[in-house]
Amino acid sequence: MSSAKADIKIEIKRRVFTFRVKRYDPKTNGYKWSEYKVEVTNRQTVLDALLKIKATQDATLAVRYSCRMGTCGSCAMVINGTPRLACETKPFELGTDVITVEPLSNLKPIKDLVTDMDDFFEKHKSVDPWLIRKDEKEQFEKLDTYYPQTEEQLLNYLEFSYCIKCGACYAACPMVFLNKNYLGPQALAAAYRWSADNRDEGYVLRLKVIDSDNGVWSCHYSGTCSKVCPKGVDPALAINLLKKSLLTGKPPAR
Amino acid sequence: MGMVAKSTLMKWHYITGLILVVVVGIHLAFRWPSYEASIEWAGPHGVYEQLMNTGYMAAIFILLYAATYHAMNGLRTLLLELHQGRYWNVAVDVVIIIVGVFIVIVGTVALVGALSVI
Repeated sequence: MSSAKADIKIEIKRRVFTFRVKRYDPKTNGYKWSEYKVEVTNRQTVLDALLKIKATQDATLAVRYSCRMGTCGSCAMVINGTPRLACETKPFELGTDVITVEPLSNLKPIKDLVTDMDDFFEKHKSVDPWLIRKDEKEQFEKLDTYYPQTEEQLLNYLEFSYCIKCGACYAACPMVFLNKNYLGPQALAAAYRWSADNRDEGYVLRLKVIDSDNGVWSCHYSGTCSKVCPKGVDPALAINLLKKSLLTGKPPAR
Repeated sequence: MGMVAKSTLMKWHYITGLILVVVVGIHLAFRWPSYEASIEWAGPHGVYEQLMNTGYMAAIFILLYAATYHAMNGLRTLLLELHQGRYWNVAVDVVIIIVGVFIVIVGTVALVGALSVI
């Protein structure tokens, strides 16, 4: 047993990467590229590298992050052309010596890599992403039968509840780029997530938003949202399930 | 067209799309076996014979209305995606309705006029 333990070795590789960072300057309302060479190990992430740059080379570099473990969604940015979470992307796994880092597209920049998520969250809020009951009092009166749900009913929407609202899908969507009023994949996936929940009774209320010119029908199924989601959520599927519901007149499967 | 749900517009978009496959197919089938003969007035497969064929003429009327709806709704969707704005949306709706109604009237007058010749 002890000899087996001794065999376990964590191999640490080191390499110098060039980080090309697209930085937004609110004073000039323009972008500039900054280049940094930084040594990282195969265990470190792009976020680690950016924080190392900030600590050792350029303290003015603005980066937003929080949990560092792919849960909060704060550090989403465009890395080598694809929206990803910086805390879940390892430079060693990107396969390039030069790594480009840009702020999320389709969102207003604030400074450097930090973007304004207000529009994104407003759209999320517009689909009423919470449990809606016709009788609001029942939750305080019938605690013994409090919103029962079978495993099968849970599986109808479980995948879509994994969304961490990082904005990667929103940044990857070509239709959001074209139509700034389009709700986008995240909000529509959230609308599906709640409408497919058997405990929810708010599907009809959400129709006003999802069945509009800027709702599900603006999606042309490029599928980029599902491709970039760091949590494996498939917003394109949710949008198409909503379209199916609207065309058949039946609420999502619950 | 805020008064109509987008899903209703899209449902008819898909329905007219499917109808178009059928009626355009019928229209093309009537160019067979000879395209030249099918655009001659007289003759065994000529225009006169086509105008006399009630089923074919019904398909042509349906083609006119389905194509107009499908094209106008598609153009509206495209224009609303290209540009956004309160006045733009209203202007697009007004122009689309005017152009659509104009096409339907001109098309109907032309087809009824052709039928009145026979």
